[in-house]
Amino acid sequence: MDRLSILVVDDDKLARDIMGDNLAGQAVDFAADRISAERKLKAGHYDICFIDLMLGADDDYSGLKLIPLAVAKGAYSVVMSSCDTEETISKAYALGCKEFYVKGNEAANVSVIIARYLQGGAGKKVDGVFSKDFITNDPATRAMVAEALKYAPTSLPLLLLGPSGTGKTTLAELLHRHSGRKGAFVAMNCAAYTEDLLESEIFGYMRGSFTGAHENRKGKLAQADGGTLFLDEIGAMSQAMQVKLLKAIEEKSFYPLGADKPEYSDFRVISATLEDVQGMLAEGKLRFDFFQRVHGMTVTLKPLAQRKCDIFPLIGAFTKHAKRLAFEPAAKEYLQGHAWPGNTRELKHFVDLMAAGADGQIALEMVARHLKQTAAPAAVAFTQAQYDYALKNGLAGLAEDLKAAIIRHNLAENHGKKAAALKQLGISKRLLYMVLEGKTRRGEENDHA
Amino acid sequence: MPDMSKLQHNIKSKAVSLKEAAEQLSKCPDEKKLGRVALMREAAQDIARLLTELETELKNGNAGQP
Repeated sequence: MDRLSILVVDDDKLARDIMGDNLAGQAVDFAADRISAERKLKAGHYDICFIDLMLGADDDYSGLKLIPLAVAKGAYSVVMSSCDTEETISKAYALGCKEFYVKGNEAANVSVIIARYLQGGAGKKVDGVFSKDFITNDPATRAMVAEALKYAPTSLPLLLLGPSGTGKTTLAELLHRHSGRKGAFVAMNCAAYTEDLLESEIFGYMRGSFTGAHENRKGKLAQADGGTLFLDEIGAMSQAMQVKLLKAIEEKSFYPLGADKPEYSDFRVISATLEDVQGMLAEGKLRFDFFQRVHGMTVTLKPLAQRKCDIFPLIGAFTKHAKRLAFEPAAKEYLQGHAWPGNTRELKHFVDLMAAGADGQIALEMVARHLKQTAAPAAVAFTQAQYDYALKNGLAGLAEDLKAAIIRHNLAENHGKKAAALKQLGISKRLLYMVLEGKTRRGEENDHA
Repeated sequence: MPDMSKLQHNIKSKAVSLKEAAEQLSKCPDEKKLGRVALMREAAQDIARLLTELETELKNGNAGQP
């Protein structure tokens, strides 16, 4: 990252000194009064300008007069003042300041401001995100991710929902990179551990706390100090574990196994699950208090089948620095028609397989063979509307209508070719013709002769 | 007569800086620590002086704004 050019306007020597530390690594300039601040703003270019409002013991809030100049010079103007009356705040915003903070928590606020500037500064980075970091052309997904990125620099928890392989970990990492947090991104899949192992993995342990604990070991909470803790599959955690973790999240302190003193860690939590959260709450699998603490802003990622416009951009990204692939038109069509139950992960695996083959030109036969081999058993799913229909018209009525609808859909997909429909759906000619003639009747379920 | 709200603002502002500096002192680079402590002492003396001014004003019956 290039160094930012920052001007700090504050009459208090100590405050300037502290800001210098908080902004270490950036190109920082200081002004102690309005006149020198004006001179510097007119002469130089600053990305961000921090402005104290009262510049001198008997000053008349002359910092306010600097805001329009800073804004006109293109600086992202942030007020940091001890004067936070409603009138002053609204005046500062009216004059064009972007953020207003009360002095006293600069260490935390400054990193948030810089992250927000970098991420939102003229919105310059968001489009790049979708062609590089989180590849999607789907408008709804783009909007959702862009919204989530606005929360990245805050310490609010985020909950990512979506089926396996939809990019929850990728998004969590992206949010961490945009958070401005200097610590590490620490990810863990809660479903991958037994209860005991999970506890020692999260909280860490002291030497001798259990058989095999030959040395002190830092847990994930400590590793994520100043960074982000990504908890995947939170539904796999026991209630007891949720209580312990809830306490650690709230207090930012915890006891490693066998420790008699607490450890402190300033971590931000992003959690994820592929399960139905409301269902988990109803079943008591997820504690409501724990859920409340981790859910913050919720992002629901759509399965790949619902954003097929992403298939080829993703293939392009997966092969960017490797062997490029060319798909024949029929192969492309097949890829678009595939349900991708494993989502992006399945697509990545498929691309790796194709790229490992000798031929870069991929034919339909090759695609079909690989995707059929790896196809997961289709999930039985129904919509609320179908359920209501079954209650109203009986299950047989729903089944018959659904059968006819699927046959008609398949025929349309095959451009009316009956042979293809018969083969693909494994139905009898009799059933096919009955559907075509609009004569389906109940009781055909077993007619697959 | 000094503006009581400005007087109070100055006390608050200096006290906040002093508190922030105290909290961050352990993270302050060693080579800067002495200088930082000097600035903190200066701020503390300013606060003491401002408090004396405030005390005087209060004794003179200037309670300032509520």
